[in-house]
Amino acid sequence: MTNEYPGPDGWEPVPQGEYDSDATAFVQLPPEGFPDAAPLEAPGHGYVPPPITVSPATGAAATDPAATGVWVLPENLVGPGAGASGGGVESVAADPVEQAPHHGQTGQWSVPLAEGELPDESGEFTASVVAGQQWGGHTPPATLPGGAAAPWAQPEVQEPSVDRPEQPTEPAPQGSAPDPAASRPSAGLELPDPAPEVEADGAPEEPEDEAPAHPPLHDNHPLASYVLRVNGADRPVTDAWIGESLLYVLRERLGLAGAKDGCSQGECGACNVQVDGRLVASCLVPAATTAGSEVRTVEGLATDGRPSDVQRALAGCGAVQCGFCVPGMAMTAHDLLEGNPNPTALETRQALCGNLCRCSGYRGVVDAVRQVADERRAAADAATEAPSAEGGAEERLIPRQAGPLATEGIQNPQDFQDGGQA
Amino acid sequence: MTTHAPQATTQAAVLPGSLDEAVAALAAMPAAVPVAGGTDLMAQVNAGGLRPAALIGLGRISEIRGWQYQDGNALLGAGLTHARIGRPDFAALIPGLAAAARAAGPPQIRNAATLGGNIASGAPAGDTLPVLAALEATLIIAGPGGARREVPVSHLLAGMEMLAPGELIGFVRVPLLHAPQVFLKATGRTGPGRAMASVALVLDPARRGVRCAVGAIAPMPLRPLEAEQWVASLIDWDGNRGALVPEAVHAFGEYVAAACVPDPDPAPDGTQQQLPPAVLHLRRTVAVLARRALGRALS
Repeated sequence: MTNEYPGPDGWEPVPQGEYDSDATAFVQLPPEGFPDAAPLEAPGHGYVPPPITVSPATGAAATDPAATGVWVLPENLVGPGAGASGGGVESVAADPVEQAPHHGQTGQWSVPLAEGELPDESGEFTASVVAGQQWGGHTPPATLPGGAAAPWAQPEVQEPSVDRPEQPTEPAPQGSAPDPAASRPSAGLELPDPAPEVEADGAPEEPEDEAPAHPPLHDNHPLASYVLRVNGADRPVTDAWIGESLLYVLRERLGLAGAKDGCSQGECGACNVQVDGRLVASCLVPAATTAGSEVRTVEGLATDGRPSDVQRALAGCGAVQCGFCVPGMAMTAHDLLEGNPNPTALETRQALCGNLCRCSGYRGVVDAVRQVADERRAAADAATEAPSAEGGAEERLIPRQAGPLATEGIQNPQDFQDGGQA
Repeated sequence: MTTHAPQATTQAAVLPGSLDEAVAALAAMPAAVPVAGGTDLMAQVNAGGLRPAALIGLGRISEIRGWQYQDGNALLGAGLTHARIGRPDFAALIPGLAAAARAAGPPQIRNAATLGGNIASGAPAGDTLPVLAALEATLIIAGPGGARREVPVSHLLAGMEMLAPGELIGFVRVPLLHAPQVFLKATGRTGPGRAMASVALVLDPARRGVRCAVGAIAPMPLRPLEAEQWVASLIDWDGNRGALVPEAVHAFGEYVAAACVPDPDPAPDGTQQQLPPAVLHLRRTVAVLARRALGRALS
């Protein structure tokens, strides 16, 4: 879904999230393509694998690259002196070289190194065959040595992302755009403009929005109106920028400030909501695509003003310190317990791996999930024992009727072990 | 239900219900951005890096949200979410892809992010990409007028073929190999995170092949073809595959690392340049991942 185009130096790391090519080493491929290399072929060709003596019981497979499926009898390959470093290895190791005969350099067969040589010694790479390579993103473009064609020959210099033609061709901003960033219509990626929320709330609210009513909406700020179904109620959203995330719409347009904007990248989990029963990071969901979906936020967990069992357990277990991450934690815990009524501590932690808490840690949340699971199971047991119809009516929106903080109810979860994975 | 822009002639956000409708909508709005899970797209939008002119939501296309068998292959819809791919029933089918999907991110990301979106965005750290490259998957691309064409995923990732205007990735055909598949990745933190390096390795006993792809270290996954053939020649495909000597497994790791993270060219005066420490670390990481992946696949 990205719309980057290759920069002047070929592919550039796309600004996806916090990705920084300088932070991690990154293999820069040369911009020149090389047509006879297989797609995605790795650039390095100089490695000479150490002599591997095929164990006598094992036998060697065919090394003819043209017929990889052909089984060649071992005696063709492994010489009589199978224990030595000689023949069998040569035929084996020569295989990749002749398979990719791009250049004379790569085709050169260098004598396998002595056995004592460690395979990971860098001396094994013949320096002549690995040509210029750019590393780490520190040096800008690939400089090939003296115009010599790079032996690794990557034709794939274009960015791997799909060259989508639907790149938003942005006409020059026509006046009334309230966003400051609109004054810089670059071809592909916009310069970072501080926050889409800022520019969006220039246009949004209904009363003033009727007044401008710019019907020929330029492409730079396309608007859409839709109806979100949030917590069981239909909430119309009018003339919202289509790039607004569900988080923004929930918070700024619908006034549901439970979901928090922590990172805007989906890393922190503070904005987790459920859309059609699936836990998603609302900051990464275009609100326009959730029209008609069932959105459930942390405000919808409570019933009749009473917090849900998860919320009560979170409060009771001391999982809340500053509280910023807790709405997301509550949604995650709800989602976990819907799919897995009796999660282990490991499963709980794995489910919570996308929720970052920077002040109080996760033990309280894990305890709370454990407690809610125990409560719900106790309630279910009670419901099945009592021959009432209450057991069948267990819906997730109905808080379990077990007493709050029934920590010492049932602590043996093994009898319910297979209930998960649903 | 449907979005409607009151006064605009074209809707700024549409939610087509079928693949052909989506392609038609894309043809009607060439500037529109197809969005499935939105996890890559919205990260850019939130950062101010992208301002979509229109959105075509692909989340309602039920035909691409499942998979089916197709004569020895699995035909995966491009709208399969990572969470769905990571489920156990899918893991029995294509374990490498399932492992990659499970490692791709936290649950709230995996619930939304789709396979096709991962391919289309082509992020270097996309976790399913090395697996698809190693599996040599084929993309089935839907074009205008109901046209379908097939493109090897390696061609698309390598930039040899691109999506034409108005085309969408509809399905991904993955061969069922019935052999061990391993996906390993190194991240900067515990828990799911962006891969610093990832290695996907699949065995293909029918063709006596080992296929490996290294992801996240380059703009696209890299296939160490020579190392694959070298190690495939050493494996006893008819007998005990695990009998490969540890030295060979170790050398395979080094081979892969040297292929994917090659030495720099010598300086003009002939002295061998030293790789930067970060790159050496990356090479060691790739070597370890490849060694472990082969060891696990053969064990």
